[in-house]
Formats: sequence, structure tokens, C-alpha cells
Amino acid sequence: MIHSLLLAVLLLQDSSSLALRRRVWGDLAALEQVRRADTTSVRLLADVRPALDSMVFATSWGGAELDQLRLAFPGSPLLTRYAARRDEREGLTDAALGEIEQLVRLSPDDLELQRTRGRLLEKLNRFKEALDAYARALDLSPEDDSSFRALQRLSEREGALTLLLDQIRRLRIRLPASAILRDHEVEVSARLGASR
Amino acid sequence: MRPLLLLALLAAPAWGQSPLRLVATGDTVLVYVLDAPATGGFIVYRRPVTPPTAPFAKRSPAAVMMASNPAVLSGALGADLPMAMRAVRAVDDAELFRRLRSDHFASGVLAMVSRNAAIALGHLYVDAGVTRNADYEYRVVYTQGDGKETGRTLTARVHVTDVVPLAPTGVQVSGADHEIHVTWHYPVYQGAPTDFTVGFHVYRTQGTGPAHRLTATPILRNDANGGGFSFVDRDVSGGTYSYQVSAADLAGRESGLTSILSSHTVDRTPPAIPTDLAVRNGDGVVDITWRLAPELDALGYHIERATGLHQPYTRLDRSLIPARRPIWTDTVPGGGHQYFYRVIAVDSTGNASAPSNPVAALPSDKTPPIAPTALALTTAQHRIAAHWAPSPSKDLRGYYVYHGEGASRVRLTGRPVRTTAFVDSGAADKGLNPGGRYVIRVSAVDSSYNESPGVEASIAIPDDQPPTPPSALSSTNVEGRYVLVSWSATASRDVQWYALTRTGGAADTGTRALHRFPASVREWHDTLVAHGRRYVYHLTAIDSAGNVSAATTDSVLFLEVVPPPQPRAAGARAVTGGVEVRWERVVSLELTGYNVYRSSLPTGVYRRLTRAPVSLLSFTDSTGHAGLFYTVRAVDRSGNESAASPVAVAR
Repeated sequence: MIHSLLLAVLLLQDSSSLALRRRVWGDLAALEQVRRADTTSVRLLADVRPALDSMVFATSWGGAELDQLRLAFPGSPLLTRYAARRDEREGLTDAALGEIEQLVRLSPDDLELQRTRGRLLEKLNRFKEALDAYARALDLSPEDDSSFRALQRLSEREGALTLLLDQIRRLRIRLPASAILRDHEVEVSARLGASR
Repeated sequence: MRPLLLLALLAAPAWGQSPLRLVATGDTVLVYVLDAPATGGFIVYRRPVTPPTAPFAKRSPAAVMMASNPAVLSGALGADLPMAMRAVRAVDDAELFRRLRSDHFASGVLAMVSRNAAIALGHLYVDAGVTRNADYEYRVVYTQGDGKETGRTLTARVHVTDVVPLAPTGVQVSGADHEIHVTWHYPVYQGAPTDFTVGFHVYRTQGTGPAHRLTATPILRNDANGGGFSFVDRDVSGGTYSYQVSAADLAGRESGLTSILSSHTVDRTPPAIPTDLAVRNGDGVVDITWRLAPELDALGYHIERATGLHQPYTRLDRSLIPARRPIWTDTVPGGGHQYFYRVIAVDSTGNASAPSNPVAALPSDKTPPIAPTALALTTAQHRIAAHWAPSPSKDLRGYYVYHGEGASRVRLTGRPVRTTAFVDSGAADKGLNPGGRYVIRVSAVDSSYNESPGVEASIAIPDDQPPTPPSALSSTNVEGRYVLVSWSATASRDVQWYALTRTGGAADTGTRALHRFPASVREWHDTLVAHGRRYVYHLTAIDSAGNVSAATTDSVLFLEVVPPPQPRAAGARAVTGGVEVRWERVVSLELTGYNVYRSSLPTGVYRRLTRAPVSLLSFTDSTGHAGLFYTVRAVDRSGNESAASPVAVAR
């Protein structure tokens, strides 16, 4: 009886995995077809992402399946992004960085990519490059607090607060009315003064 | 759909011979029926070739048919589902099912490149359990939709042995702009029974890593290109990549890999055009900043400036502006002008972006120009001509010229003058006051009307005009003691002296200069005068330049006011021919003579007998006679007569 029950559970799991797999493949194929139709693309992207999240990060077979998906959809930025996340989780920071830099070349204006690049570079102790990545992130979104905090922390550590102050002052030329940038300038100036 | 269409060119001759293709691999024979009916299927029979009398045995338990609904079809396609959807441009299972069911051609070609598709679409039956190196004859019987066999059959023979496809030849790899091209050759299909090659796979190696396949499905063997094939790998970044190619057949077997060939990408893609240019206008400077170049290989920027939107741009930087510091501070030649800036991004390969959209800047100018120098003044005809050395400032608009007397300064130029000379000709062009000292001040003015400190010089207008004559000149005899000469001041303000001259005195030979008085003196006591003389005084004003005014004249008769003493001891005596009157001499310095008076009564009215004073001490009255009364008076030079002498009676 117990044996039958376990078999039923395993069958259910297998059925669920198959459904998930089919859904991901189907959604990605559809996404591939409508890549140029923005509204449809956004809708399909919203559909496929939860399924991909579940598959890649919540199943034992999702990682391998992701490789198959990448083979079937070569150059897919979405799959490359998932691959980078997966690699980072698995401690393959170099590989994750390579994938993120590949994505940065395709979408250099992507704030999240630049932040991720900074984080990965920091993990690899490539602090100067990490500073550059965070600086790019802040440049893309000057009032983004996350980028500022990361950049400030790393700048302080690397003794590059002057460069950060320069960058904030440059950004203030672009956004002279920004109260956030004004506060950032005050804060960095104070820290710079304290560090001296 | 284009690749499938091209594959059809390859497949068509084969279909003309027989749509039944038998592919042996290992202990399996793949039975392909390329024209399997959409609404029906087929049943597979098999028998060994030897003995010839061996009967056909039914191999497929049921008719091989296309999947009956979209879900089953999608599931059966498995990993090849995306490829199939792309091939027929379907967006969901239902559309995929509809298209493959209605497009028999696409269905047949798809079956050739994907075993999953071949099975799902009812084109393939996999017959396992054959013996290697044995020969078999297959018969395929078409069926209707309900599985009943029709009269149409196909037969073919197969020798069970693995035939590995030939490897491609002539592989070449060349790098291009962010992509690598791989090309190779493969023999054109000649209908050989063992030639099942349907496509090619491309493998890539980066660095020392393992080779991995780039092609999920084979690159179709399209003989329309005459046996030449290519693949473009765009999933590359900078670096060197190595490639190998293999041929794949219907059974999924691959040939051996070609030898490794490497190439690297070339970056010919310029960086993105810089965006978000912003300026901050300062005093004669402009700060220009823009967004960081997003490319990882960005090296720096060039910045250019123009004075107008459609004017030529001039590059400002001598060397690239570093990529991480997208800011430039431009010191402009003249504030108050509009400038346009644009930025060009450059990557590490030297590719330059197109120029950004220009951004306008209007720097302020609060810096005064450099003052002019060497101010020199000359004067002529009551005018001042000023010349000066120009200011070296570049944005000079002109000069302001001021005129001043004392501490005050009045600007003469409403607008800045562009020349380095100016003539101050006074109010209403009437000239300046002679004798006046004037200050001329010149300052430089730039295009923003900033004014430099002034340079000053002063000059006096020569006084070549005489002053107005003094007025109210008066000469008065004061009790016979002196002449009081007095006058009022002249209207001219620059008078420094009054000069007084006199004529009429015994010692005056011509005009005698009496004295020169300071301008503050208003009177003079002339004591060098003699009683009884008339004096004429001439007074002139002399200004600071020595100009002499016309003379003002007055005269005075200087007389003694005290009469001389009366003659004493006057006596009269009738003589022949009249009466002789005698008297004693009167002692007086200014005595000029005596007048003799006669009356008929002692207290009567005496009438003067002498027309002019006589200087003798006697006088004969030719008409006199005894009994008349006489008296004598002394007369001085001032005409004063003394009191009458005692009366003398002629006897």
C-alpha cells in the first residue's frame, strides 16, 4: 500500500515536472516568435519567468534543462541571464561574469546588469573594475540608492571617495534639481573629510 | 521556413524515386515514409531477403499516424518543439498542429531533420531487433484514418550496417565585426542509397575549454548553393574561438569532426552615441558632462564646439577625455555668447561614434577686460584729443570715455567706442573752457559690458582769451591828500592780477604803470599826485595765462582844499590913470597869483577885476577912482582863493 502511494507521488511529481518543462519550452518558443511585438513580448515574458524560476532554481533537473534551452534558443538574453544567476548560485562566478558581460554588450543601458556585474567583480576581488561597473550603474540611474551605497562602500574601501565625489558633482550638472544627489554630495564630502 | 524550403530541393529527387527511405543504424532500421498521409498512416512489414520465400511479418502493431491532437504533438516533439514552432511560425500548440497537418510539405521536411518530429508527424517507424549485416526487405502499406489498409504499398531493401556520413571539407573560419563566419563544402546529393546526410553541426571551443555544439538542429544540407555552406556565430565577444564541423544524417549519426580552425572577432562597431549632455554655465567657462559610455571597451571621448548650430565644429581636446570622466571644462573666449557642444565616443579599437546631439551653453561673463594703457591727451581749439593703446582682451566691445573736473566724472560715450581715439569738444560742441583743467578717463568694455578699471590723464585748456575788464573803476580826490582808486572784480574767474596805470601827472611820461595788484585787491591810494592836475587811471585785469583785458578808465582832478593865507596890508591909491592897488606877498607853495576885487561900498558886492590871478604884488585899476573900495585874495594852483584881505579905500 505504502509502495503504491509512493509510486503515485513519484508519478505526480514526474507529471508536474513534465508539465513545467512543457510550459517553459512552449512559452520560450512563443516568445521567440513574437520577439519584436513589444506588448506581446512583455506578456509572454511575464508568463515564462515564474516557470523558469521554478524550473531552474526549484528543481534538481532545471539547471541541466537550462543548458538544453540555451542550445535550442542560442543567444537568448533571457536564458543567458538565468544561466548567470544559476552559475553565481553555484559559485561559478567567473562563468556568471562572462555571461553578464555578454549581456552588457547587448544591453549596456541595463541598470540591473551593471549592478550585477559590479557585484560579481567584487566577489572576484577585481575591485577597480567593480568600481567602474557600479559607477556605470549610478550613471544610468543617478538617484538609485542601491548603486550609490554599493559605490560608496567600495570607494571608501579603495580610497576612491574623491572619484565618487567627482561623479556625483558631474551628475548634479545633469540633474541640478535633484535633492538626492545633493544629499549624496554632502554625505560623501563629509566622509571624505572624516577620512582625512 | 526558408531552410526547410531549401531542403526540399535536396529531397525532391528522392521523392521522385520512392518516398520510402530505410536507414540502418546499429540493430535498428528507421523506416521513413516521407509522403505519409495526413489523415491516414501506414503499416510496416518486414522479411529477411534470404530465403526468398520468407514471409513478411507485420512490425508495427498499429498504423503509424500523426499525433491526433495538439497536446500530444507538442509532447512528442519534446526538445524539438521550439524548432518546429519556429519552422512553421506557430505561436502555440494548436497553431503548430494545424499548420503541420495542413502543410504536408513542411511536415515531410521537418521529419527529415528531427526524429521526434518524424515520429510525431507519422513519418517514421523505428524497427528495432534487426541483425547487423543482414539484408531485409520492407513493405509499407498505407492505411486510412481508421487504420484499414489501402491498396497502396511501398517496398525497399536495406543492408543493416552503420554508414557514417562523410565529413565536410574545405572548412574556413574568418572573423568579422562581433561575429565569426564558418564555411565548408559538402558533395552535392547524387542519389546514393547510403547518402542520408541532412545537415551539419558546428562545434566551438574557447580557450582551453571543451568543444560544445552551437547548433541545436542541423544546418540543412541545401544543395542550391552548390555544396557550399556557412554558419555565422554571433554569440561571441572579444577573443579567439576555434571551430569544427560535422555532417549529420537522418539517423542522427555524425561524421567525424573536421580539424580545428581558429579566428578572432573584429570590432568594427562604433560605440553608442553619447547621450544626456548637460552644461553648467559659469563665468567665462562651461562645464559639459554626459552619460558614461556604456560599452565595456569604451576608451574615451572627443568634444567639439561650434559658435552656431550650423557652424563648423572645432575639436577642443588634444587627447582623449578618459572614459570614466565624462566631463569637460571649456574656457570660452567670450562670455555672453552661445556655444554648441557635441561629444564623440571612441572605443579601444578606435571606432568612433557619430557625434551626439549638440547641447547649447550660454556662459556668463563677469570678468572685466584689461584696461587700456598709454592714455595721451592733446589739446587744440579748446578741445581735447585722447589716444590710448588698445586693451588686449579678446572679447572687447569698445571703450567708455569719461570727462571730469575735480573728482566728478561724466561719461561722454553712450555706447562703447570702437576706436582708440576720442575728441572731447565740450557741451554742444562749443569747446571747453579755456584755462580749465580736465581729466579724461578711458575704460575698456567687453561684449558683456563688463568695464575695466579706468586709466586717467589730465590736461589744461590753454587760456588764450582775455578776461572781461574790471568794472566800476572810480578815482576820488580824498581831501586833497591822495586819490582813492577803487574797482569791482571782473567776471572772469581766472583773473590773477589787476594792473593800474595813470596818465596826467607831471612826472608821467606817457602812461605810468602804478602797480600790479593781486586779484583780491579792490582799491589803491595814489599819493604821488600833485594838486591841480587831472589824472586818468586805466585798470586792466590779467588772468593766469597772462591775458590782459581791455582797460577800464576813470579820471580825477586832484585839488587842494585848503585856501592860501589872505594877503595882508592891502592899500589903494588914486593915481593918474586909475587906482593902484598894492599888497604884501603871501607865502604859499602852491600860490599862483592874486585876484583883485572892487566895490563902491565897503560892505557891498566886490567884483573881480583880474581875469586871471596876477603874480605881481600890485595892480592898476584903470577905471578906478578915489573913493572906491578894494580887496585882494590869494589864489593857489587848485583855484582856491584865500579869504579877502582887509578892505582898502582908494584915496
